Amino acid sequence: MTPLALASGSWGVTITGNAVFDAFLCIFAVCFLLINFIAVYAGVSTLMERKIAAHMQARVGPYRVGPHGALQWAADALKLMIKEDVIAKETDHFLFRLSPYVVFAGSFACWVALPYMPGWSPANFNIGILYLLAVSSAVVIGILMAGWSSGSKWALFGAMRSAAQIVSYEVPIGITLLGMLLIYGTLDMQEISKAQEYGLPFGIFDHYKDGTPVQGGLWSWGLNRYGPFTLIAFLIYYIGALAETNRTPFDIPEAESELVAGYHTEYSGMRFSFFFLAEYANMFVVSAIATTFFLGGWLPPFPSPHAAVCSVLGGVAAAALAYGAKKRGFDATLGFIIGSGLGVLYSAVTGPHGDIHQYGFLAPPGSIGQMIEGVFWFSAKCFALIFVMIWLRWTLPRYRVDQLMDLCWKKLTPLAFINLVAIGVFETRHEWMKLIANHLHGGAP
Amino acid sequence: MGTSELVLNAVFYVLAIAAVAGAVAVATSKNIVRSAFALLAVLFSAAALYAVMKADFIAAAQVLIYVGGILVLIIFAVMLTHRITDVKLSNDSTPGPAAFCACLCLLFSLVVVILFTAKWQRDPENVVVRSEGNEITLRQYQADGSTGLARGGIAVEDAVVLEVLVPRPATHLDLVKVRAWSTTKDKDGKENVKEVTGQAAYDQTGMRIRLENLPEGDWRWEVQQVTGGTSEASAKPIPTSSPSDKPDFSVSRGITEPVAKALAGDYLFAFEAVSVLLLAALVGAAFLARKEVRE
Repeated sequence: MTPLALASGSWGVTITGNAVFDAFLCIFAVCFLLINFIAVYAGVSTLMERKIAAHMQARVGPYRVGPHGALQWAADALKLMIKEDVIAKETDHFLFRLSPYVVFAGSFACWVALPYMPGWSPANFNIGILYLLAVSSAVVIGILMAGWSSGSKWALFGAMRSAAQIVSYEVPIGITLLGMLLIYGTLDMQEISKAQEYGLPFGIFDHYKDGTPVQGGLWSWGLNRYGPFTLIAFLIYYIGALAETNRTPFDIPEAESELVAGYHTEYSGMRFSFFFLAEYANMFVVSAIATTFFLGGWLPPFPSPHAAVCSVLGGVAAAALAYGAKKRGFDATLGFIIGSGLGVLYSAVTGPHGDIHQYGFLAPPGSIGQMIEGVFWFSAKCFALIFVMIWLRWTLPRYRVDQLMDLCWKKLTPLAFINLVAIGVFETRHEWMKLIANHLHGGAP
Repeated sequence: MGTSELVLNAVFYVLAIAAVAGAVAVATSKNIVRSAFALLAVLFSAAALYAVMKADFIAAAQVLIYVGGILVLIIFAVMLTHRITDVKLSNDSTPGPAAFCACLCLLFSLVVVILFTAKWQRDPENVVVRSEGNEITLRQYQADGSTGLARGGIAVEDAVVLEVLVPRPATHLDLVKVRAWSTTKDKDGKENVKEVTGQAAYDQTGMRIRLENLPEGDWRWEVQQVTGGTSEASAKPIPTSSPSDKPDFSVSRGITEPVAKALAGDYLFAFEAVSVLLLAALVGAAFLARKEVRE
């Protein structure tokens, strides 16, 4: 799809009346919005990361700028911008200057294809996920470029490690996503989100009520689709995503104690911050892919208002029970999560039907309210996954290089293959059950 | 030429120049690592050119395989090779003009082959309508005792233009309607019928009916005769010859589906054979690269 046809055609926005002008304006507006969002989001994430780390280590963390250090990220950004841009003598100047942009472009290009709300993403690709996997490979090239052009051993080692890691972990990630694509039957990110509206877990329960499949809320998300296998797929994807974004426990490319700072050792000031932005942008992208494939994209966890009520009631009841039994906040939280999930399941099985076009949103289809709800649920899920990434970073120690490769090639990849076959078997269950039944009864298949 | 066309052409030239410049940099760079990185520009520009030609799947596959796989491997190999960066690897021994002439000959023959063998087809809005032969089935039908031909045309700007040629019949056939419908079965076996109708007044030479915004799917169509006004109820299908089960045309946006059909259908054996070949190469490479264990 050409950028112009895409922009003017799929948005149908008229500003000046000239289709080409409008298309450029739309592209500019969306890119402006996204880039600024990335900058602010990355800044706030660094602050969150430091705060969470501090609390996990019983410290206070940044506290001086703004209330409770809330404006620390702006101060950091300002500092990075006015810092001197040092370029060492032994570097390959052209590639050294170019590589931060290549890395950032690779992660930014992914942002336009994410399904932020029902029916609209900046670029609605037919080949969504394939595009995402493809353009993110520019990041590897950029990292290799940065490492080599720095003319420093630390940077080169970091770049080699990073590239080897990313290329290796693309294999289990690709295979798990392939398994999920068997279920959805489309590469379109919007269609994948929509496909998770119906069905109940384990594949056995996909029962119909009044001839239409049941809207299961969070029980019909990709994660729950085929019992344990899609859950394993989600875990494999998430582990792979951690490695792809060079996050702990897979942060060996920038292991401080071994390599100073890995591939961006020689960078300073704004160029360094581009690597930083790209890393956080990448975290959001992999979380968004996980959200779309496994957590229902922009779909709310409730299939209908009835289910929302059931969920809250179930959650509160289970939390009260758990707290009564154990007297601990953690158990109460766990109880709330389990109870609200069961509430949704109860409502899906017994409750009234939701409207097909409403996707379980409170607002009517096509309205601004539904868009806001969609963006809310999508980003809530993404940020939950990002929070877990930060949480893991301050919990787990770093892997060694050989352990990392061992985990990828000897454990995750075979597991991903088994998973792919299992999901395939589940997906074609009607066909082979028919075949077996025919065989048992002696009929022709 | 519209503005959109103009911009597309400009985009094409920018990308083409980037690709050629990258290729020149690959060939002339004194440093082999820089050559490898220049390849990035070539491969990305080529992918973008595919995208301009609406081959979005091919573009993504190009980036995924060539940039994400092959280029990374090349850079790895170059970087890991011992002190290769110090070697000046430019072919100064080849006389420049001779090489230039040889390249020109190759380019010329390539262009000639492309010009004389490729079938060019342009459909600006990315709607691909397929049926046998490039045209929608010619179908003979009878209307009130006279025989005519209904035939379809190729998609133009997001629409299918169907041409209906009817020799003016004896009775009033002042209004002819075309109804196109597509039946799809979803995953649960439920049938969905999408229907689009278009109508036009009939004149001496025949008529053209535009069916716009056709959703994706396999379509069939028929000509209906409207008598006594334009009300829906009075429309009745004109019997056509040989109504088969085969769809008359199919509409698809993007090329993922045709590519998938070709790879997993028509060319399945070739595809698998190539996969086996690559697997053999992979096993061979692993065998050659393994460390010799000495007893």
